[in-house]
Amino acid sequence: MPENAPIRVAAVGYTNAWPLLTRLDRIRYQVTERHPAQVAELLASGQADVGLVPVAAMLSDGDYKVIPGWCIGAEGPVHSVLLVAETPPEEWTAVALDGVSRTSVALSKLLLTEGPLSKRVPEGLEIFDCAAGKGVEHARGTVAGLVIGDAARSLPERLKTRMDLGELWWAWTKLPFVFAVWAGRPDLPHDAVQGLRLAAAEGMGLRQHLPEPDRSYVTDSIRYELDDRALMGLRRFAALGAKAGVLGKDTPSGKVAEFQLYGPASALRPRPDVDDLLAACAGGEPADLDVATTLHEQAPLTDLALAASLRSSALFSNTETAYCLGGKVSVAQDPTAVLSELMDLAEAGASMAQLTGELSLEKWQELLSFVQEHVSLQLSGLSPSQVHKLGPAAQVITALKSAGLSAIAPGQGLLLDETARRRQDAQITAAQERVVLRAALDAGMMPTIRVVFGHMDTLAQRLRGLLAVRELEPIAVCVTTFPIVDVGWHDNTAADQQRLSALARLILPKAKLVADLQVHGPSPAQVMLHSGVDDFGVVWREGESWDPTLALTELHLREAGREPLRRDLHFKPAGGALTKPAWSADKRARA
Amino acid sequence: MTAALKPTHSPRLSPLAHMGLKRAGLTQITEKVLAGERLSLQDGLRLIEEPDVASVGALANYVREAWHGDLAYFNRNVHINATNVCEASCIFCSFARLTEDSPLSYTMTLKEAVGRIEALRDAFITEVHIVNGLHPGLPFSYYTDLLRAIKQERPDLHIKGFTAVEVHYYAEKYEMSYAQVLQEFRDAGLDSLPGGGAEIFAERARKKLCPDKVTTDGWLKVHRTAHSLGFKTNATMLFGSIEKLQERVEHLVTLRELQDESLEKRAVDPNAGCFQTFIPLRFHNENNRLERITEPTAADTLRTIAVSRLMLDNFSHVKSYWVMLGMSLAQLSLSYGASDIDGTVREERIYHMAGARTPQELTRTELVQMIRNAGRIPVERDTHYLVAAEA
Repeated sequence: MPENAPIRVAAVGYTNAWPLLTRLDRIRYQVTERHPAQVAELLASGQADVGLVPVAAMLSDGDYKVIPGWCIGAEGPVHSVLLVAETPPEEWTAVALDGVSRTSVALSKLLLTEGPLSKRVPEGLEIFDCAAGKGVEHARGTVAGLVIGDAARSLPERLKTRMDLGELWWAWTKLPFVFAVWAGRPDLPHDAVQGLRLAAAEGMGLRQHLPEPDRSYVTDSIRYELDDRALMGLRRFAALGAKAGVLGKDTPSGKVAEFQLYGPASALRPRPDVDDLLAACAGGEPADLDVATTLHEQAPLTDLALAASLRSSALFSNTETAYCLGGKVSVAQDPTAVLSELMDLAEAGASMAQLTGELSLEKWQELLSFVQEHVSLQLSGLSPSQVHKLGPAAQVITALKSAGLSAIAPGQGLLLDETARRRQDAQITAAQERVVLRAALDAGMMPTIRVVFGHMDTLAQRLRGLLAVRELEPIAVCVTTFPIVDVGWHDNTAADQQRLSALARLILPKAKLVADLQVHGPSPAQVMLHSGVDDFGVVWREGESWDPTLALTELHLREAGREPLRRDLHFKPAGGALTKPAWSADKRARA
Repeated sequence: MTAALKPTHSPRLSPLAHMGLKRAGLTQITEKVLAGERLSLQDGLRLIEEPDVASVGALANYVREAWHGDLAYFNRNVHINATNVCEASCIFCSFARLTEDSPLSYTMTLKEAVGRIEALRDAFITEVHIVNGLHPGLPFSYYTDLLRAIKQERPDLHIKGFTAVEVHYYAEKYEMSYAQVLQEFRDAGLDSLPGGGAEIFAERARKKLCPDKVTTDGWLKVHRTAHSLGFKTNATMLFGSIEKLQERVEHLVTLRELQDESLEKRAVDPNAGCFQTFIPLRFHNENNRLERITEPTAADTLRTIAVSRLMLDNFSHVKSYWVMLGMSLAQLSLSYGASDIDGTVREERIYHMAGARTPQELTRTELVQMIRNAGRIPVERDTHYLVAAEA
């Protein structure tokens, strides 16, 4: 149906409906008030687009959808739906069910035949339908009657037995009972659905202005939230009613009582046209802050990944992908012990080692001079913040280089953005780090700059961090998430990582994009080879083995369609025999 | 009120996707997909051998969006694996124990099984998923009593239970036909069948993997019978163990053919059932006899999901079961053809015994967040893919 067309609403005029109706915009929503059965008829005949219908009608009549959020229900006594009699249930011979509400009729039948009343009423109890509003009249002697609506709240004295259906249901199921819901034609426009919900939400706040006893009734007796518990109550009622044959639609296999809520506004989000932007970036025009922001917010993940992948294959070979073997060695031990660990690493086939820990500049120089006489590994060490602490960056770096250090280690990789760092407890400012990185790059000692996101940062901060890195014209950048812990999904999920590495590829004109195997593991890193990542990063030595194993690392590259290569710290080819292709998908293909 | 059985949306394949597919040499297949033509076995093979998973993924994503737009479905459910005592000795299984005396074997009493449902009295769940070992010592009534007791406790729960393997085993053991077993289960409360036990249809691999299990023909016959009795069922494929890539594609084609058959019957009799969802199951290698085999990599997994979506043109959904894929891959798969990531899943045992490191359950908030971050719109569904609650 067309947007903004007037919506024909059918509803009951009972007090309990007042909060749902009172704030409805009567120009958009043309409300007709009827009793429950007539509301259902108006909806079924197409004379209403949406109705506050008894759930029995919703479950049995048409192909409706239910508006989420609000309903007319009760958890415990409802006070307006009663089985009444002059005698207790044990003496009843018949029950007259007022057909004005099919829901109350179906609920009464369930309670009398399967629920708690079935154990109290005599066998052979007659259940018959009576005319609308005649329940009270029928309730005489051993005949009970169903009374609903405002009439149930002012009963004659003689009716001593008053059994509240809401209360009986609750005693039976420990769930709320839903009497009526907003249900409508399946194509009801989303904004019309939202309008009903909003009006209900506003109406809830006005309940306190009603005079007593209505105020207590709508604030205490009626439960308006169509939440998980109410939905469970509704599902329970539908299932029991269908099984007992008192609810649902007829099918050859019996009654079926299913329902569904109105879903999202539309199944397919609008797709802003970012084709030209993506094409330009894929073609080599580096994304600026505006473009990157637009792409992050609007480009589908698939397209973003493809653009990055196209850019990557234009820049570098996409038939081969390299990785580096390395190990970490602590300097907080005797230099001979450091040397011995380094020799083990060299023996195992590593081409680089990262020295970790704090030393004075003199001690660093001593250690480096000592070990590099005996071992030919490329050595990296000291984070940018460590360099900063030791003195003027250019001087410290020159000294370290002449002592034999091959590269400054990437360090924490906090974003090069002062506002982000304020929240991240950074050891040095972005400006200070930039100075160190510049000096290290100029000295050929900063092969890979690390960029970590996903720790209390905003999109703008992430992008500014990447743009700041771009200004340094790095050789390679490793964009990685703050490690995900098992619980608490935030904005550093696999999809966020994929989106950000793709954007990094489009922001950085020349740098290699390096995966972080240690943080992500080989599988997500493998996926990122198809969203802009050009290099598989470092496989670290853990104890006596590589993590991940060489076989697994190379398998992941091969199954991504890449021939594995070994490289050193500075992206030059490194030796070592590759593993044989394992039993894997590519082998399976040939098998 | 059932899910549509054909694509209803009009997404577009972006110029970049066209470019990627062209670069991968997939122009012809792309044209077929865009024209709504059925892909051949050869097409499937070409796609599953294509290294450029991003382009294959983009094409599958197009089909996924044609079926479901941006919607990504999940549900809240509970799993009951009532016993892990199992006569079959499938070499990929880490769950089963041959006899009741084996270490770690268990068989729940009726009370214990129902106790799991009772414990969730206040939890909004819409479905219970029951899959069991092939226990040689239990009477048939164990299962019908179990169904009845669950329905008694929670009549509102949809019971999806008993793989074709179980149905076949009971039919043989208790000397009944498939239809009789299924009819008795229905009378006791069964609502639909899960898709497990399909493993891989290729005889060569099936003989090695699960020699004691129902044959491929038997599996198909159980589902055919279930469909004719009006049951909706799911279908699975265990991939990444010892099968060839071609055997994966053949598996998909076999399922597609049975679905064609069932949909034809359904056109005449709307009460007939059919397949609802296809679930590619990623092989796990711990605690079983296939530890030497490497588990499928992410690219292999995503490609298999994508090819499933492209080949199964008569299946409404391809589900990436997060328990097996891990949360990261399940999330990414939503852009590679998958439209469902299963549920909050309480008490899953089978894959956790095979080394799945995913948490035992995900909260609804976590699932919703994970879907949103993937750029999709979360929808909480019931078993029939009706919107069950607001996401």
